[in-house]
Amino acid sequence: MTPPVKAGFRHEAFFYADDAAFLRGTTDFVRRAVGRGEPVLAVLDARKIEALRGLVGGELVEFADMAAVGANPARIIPAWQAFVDRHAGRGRHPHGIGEPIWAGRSPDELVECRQHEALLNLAFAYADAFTLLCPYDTATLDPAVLAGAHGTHPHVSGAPSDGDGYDGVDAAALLREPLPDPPADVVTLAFGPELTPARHFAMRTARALGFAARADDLALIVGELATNSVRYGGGGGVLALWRDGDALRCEVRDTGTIADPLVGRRRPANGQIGGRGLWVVNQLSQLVQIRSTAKGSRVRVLLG
Amino acid sequence: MSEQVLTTVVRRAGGSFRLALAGELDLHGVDQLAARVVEALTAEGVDRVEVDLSDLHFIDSSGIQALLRAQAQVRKAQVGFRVVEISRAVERVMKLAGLGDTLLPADPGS
Repeated sequence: MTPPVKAGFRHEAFFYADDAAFLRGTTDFVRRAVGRGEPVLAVLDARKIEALRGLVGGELVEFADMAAVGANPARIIPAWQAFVDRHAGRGRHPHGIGEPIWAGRSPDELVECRQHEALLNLAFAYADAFTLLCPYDTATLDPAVLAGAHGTHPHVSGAPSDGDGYDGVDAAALLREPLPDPPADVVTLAFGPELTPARHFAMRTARALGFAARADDLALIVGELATNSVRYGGGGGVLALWRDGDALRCEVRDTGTIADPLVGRRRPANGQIGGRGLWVVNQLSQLVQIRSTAKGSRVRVLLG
Repeated sequence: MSEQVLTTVVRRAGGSFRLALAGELDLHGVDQLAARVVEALTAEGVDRVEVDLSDLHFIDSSGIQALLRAQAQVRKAQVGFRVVEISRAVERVMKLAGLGDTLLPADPGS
């Protein structure tokens, strides 16, 4: 017997110039899916959900607020995975609309969002059937961001914009992008193999920098990152902490290598042992930047 | 390791092996917990291991991993395993770690 033909993963950037074009494209997409009896999840900002909800609905259509799901873009893939898993095995072809990128995102967030878009191709490479439409606002987004969308989406529709074709996924390259240097006045601590000193240093520093309410979370984050350094990163590393505007940044450097670009983006299975460290960090943080070269790794975390 | 951050105290009562963990359970407490599990499984007449986490004020994913391993190992030996008390801080981390109710007491506070 030949296996049934799989629809696979279709990842499409949809460029729109205004609200009318956005609503036209997304309602078409939803109606076509619903017309075939397929489920739809739209993860958008609250205003767009409101507008789209007025035009499409029914029990096959769900909405989720991107501000909650995707504040940290590393939490979006698990949300899609949960949606796909809920419909997998029932012969359904899940359809998603996801707009993780908007003009208010910080430069660091935009880099990680592009990373997220690229990682979707890796995460769902073997999906039986999943169609994801990613709206991009050509009126407000920087041309470089739109060009980036060409590189991360095998399919592009809507208003034309400049950009080279789809890059394909070079998983290793995703982890090699440089990070801007931390400021000169960071406080640092070399740690390892003991973890308690790093956690306690993190708590003291959080309080000293005015983030007492996040001290416990920071201690947990630092503990998870330091544990990875102790286990896989040469037995220890260097912790750096600094204030960045209203937020707190934390970075752990070590001499280890992080090979899996999807690390921390897979919800641990029930009863699964291991693989929860960076998952926990992602749940607590606004942004997590993972970089790794032959010389070592760094994980930088933003805590609001 | 220089600093003792985890203490484990065992109380036997009938078939119950009650293991109270206090302090912080991270990578460096994993071996101590594993040793207690071996102790429970080699002791006479133990039909259930009850883990009391009420005085555990810190746990991370290594600690959760150690508890999951303990649970699997104990149940494989046909001995009961349950977490009977839990602090709020530890419960929060377990939920963050994506554990669902895997290790949580069935009836909180009982």
